[in-house]
Amino acid sequence: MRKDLINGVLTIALSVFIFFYAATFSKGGFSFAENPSLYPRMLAGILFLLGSSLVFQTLLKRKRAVNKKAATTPPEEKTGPEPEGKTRVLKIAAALIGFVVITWIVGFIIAALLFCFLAPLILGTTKKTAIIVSLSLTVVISVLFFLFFKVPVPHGILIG
Amino acid sequence: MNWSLYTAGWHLLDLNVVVFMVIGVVLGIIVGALPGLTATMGVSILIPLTYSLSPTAAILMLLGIYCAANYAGSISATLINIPGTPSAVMTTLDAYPMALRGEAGRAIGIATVSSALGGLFSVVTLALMAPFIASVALKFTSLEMFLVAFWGISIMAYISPGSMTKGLISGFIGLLIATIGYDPLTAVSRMTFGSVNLLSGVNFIAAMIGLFGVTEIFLNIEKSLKTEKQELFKVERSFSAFKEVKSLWGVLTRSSIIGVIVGAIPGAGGTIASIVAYAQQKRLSKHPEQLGKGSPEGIAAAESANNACTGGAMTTLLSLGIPGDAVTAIMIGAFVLHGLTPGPMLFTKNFDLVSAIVIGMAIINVLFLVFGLFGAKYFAKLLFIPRPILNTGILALCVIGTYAIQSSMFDVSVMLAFGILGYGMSKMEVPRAAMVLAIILGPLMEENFRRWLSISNGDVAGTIWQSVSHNPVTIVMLVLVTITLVMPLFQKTKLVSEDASAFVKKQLDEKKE
Repeated sequence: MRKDLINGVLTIALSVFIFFYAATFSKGGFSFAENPSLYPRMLAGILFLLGSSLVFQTLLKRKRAVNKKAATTPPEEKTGPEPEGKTRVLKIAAALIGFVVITWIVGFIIAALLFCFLAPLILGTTKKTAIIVSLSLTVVISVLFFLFFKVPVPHGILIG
Repeated sequence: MNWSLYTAGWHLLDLNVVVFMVIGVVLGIIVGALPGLTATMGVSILIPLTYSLSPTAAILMLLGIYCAANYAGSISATLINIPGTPSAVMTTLDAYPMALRGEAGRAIGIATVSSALGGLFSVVTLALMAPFIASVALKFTSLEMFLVAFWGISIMAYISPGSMTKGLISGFIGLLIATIGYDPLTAVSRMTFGSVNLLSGVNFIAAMIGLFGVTEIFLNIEKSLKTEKQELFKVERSFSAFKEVKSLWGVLTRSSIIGVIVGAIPGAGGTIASIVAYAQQKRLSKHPEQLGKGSPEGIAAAESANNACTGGAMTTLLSLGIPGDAVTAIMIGAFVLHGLTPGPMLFTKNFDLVSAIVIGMAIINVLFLVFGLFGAKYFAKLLFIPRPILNTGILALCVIGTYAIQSSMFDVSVMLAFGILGYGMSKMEVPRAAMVLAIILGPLMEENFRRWLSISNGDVAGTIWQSVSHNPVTIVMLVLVTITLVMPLFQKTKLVSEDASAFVKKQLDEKKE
């Protein structure tokens, strides 16, 4: 329920921001249908209604749940992913961002060698496996793209 | 109807097309057999690779992945009791108990033949229905095209798991994302926040790779690190499945019809089709008590339905430009990448391609039938691939694949941003499919909406009344949109998703007992 409340509030905030930001698109001189801000503002208005509706629904549900609390059995405990799971995702996301930045600077091959070594390590393999994965994946992907699909891999701004 | 349409499949004689169709089927079986990888992810990651191919080769390769992955989910469902794709969830209930009895080969055989027959049935429906629907759709006005697109998004929001409000929020945010870039009527830049890279809008293939490729891998990584070695059942080739399936023709026909209908509903997809078909089979079977305990009927119902969905989903995609499920939504990207727009115009401008798609889909179903019957035991070995290696490889493919779309590192950043957004949405229980569909259909919706507004010249109510009184299609579309939006207010639970998940839960509980 807390998640839905956050979803609702974020939607309202986004819709308000878009509504006012979209007002800057129109410089005047356009007919009603031609106005470039019309459609985004209309969408923002609907989003505002949807966000408010979600907040309202959630608060109503919460009120009902409080009323029924005494009469019902406690809800089943949710078994979500273990906390290490989220840490792992954060580490992989950081590695992926690093991969993109390094690709942009020095090109795909060096970046892929680093990422394909680091990611398996984060995911629990040994160093030896990570080295093998890094070399083989980089070679396979580069060859596959360059020779088979004829798509050049990025070279990076330093190498050109 | 112009039957000569289906004689124009000469593209299929090209060796290149045949090779990529076979590659697609093999990749599809690999993607489907590995739990955690889905057809949606496979197609989204591989779309950029089709850039250098001919449109026919590209689309048939992706269709190969789509159809074969839908089938191959049954391999891991049989061997390790985990559906390879979500649509194989009902197959697990009967295929695994059969494997426990030492009949893994028989279970995979029935699943393979049923999947292929369901798929072939849906191709016939596609061939018959798509030209008819397209000929009607050609007469649509801008208001009706807008309503069709809006209905597609609202029904996807309705069917998505969770509340419809969240589905609609996801859809409307997708529509807002689609407005980024030049305004289609006045060329004024919108929502670009001063970025030159955003002037041509968000590349929706990059967005899809992020939302379905990267997000799915993040979710996989979060779940577990365990890659314990599993004992697999011995898979013997089972050609006797043909004989066995012969006695199940009633189940196959019924389930295939269900599959085609569910497939044509935007957003429903193979999982819901297999659940609905399985539930019907349980209701109509002479031996309902055997379902869930290793019954061939259960496998045939689930597998024929989930593969029959492919033809249903392609029918609406080709004839209306409205995808039937997430995979066909993503496949629009492949059409756009090759300068094509799925929809009724495809039947007048590119009928040779439509012809090749229909005939190619039939061949794809035969191909995975052959590969499945002869090679299931080899594909089963894929289940030993360590997850960390697989996940690393897919993430690297996401990066290079996105770059390949238009050699742009900015697109890669967009992909990454959508990957993180998708993960956040998943954690906040907001469905992603409606957003993807809205990003794709957004430009079509806006263009038709504003064109209609221009024509109405400010008299919105008068123009609607004029359309309604002259064209029954407008009434039908308005009624459909209203029903979809209003229905959730009058029912306590969703008709499809929640009933379906309740049914699966009940079946699993019964099985545990």
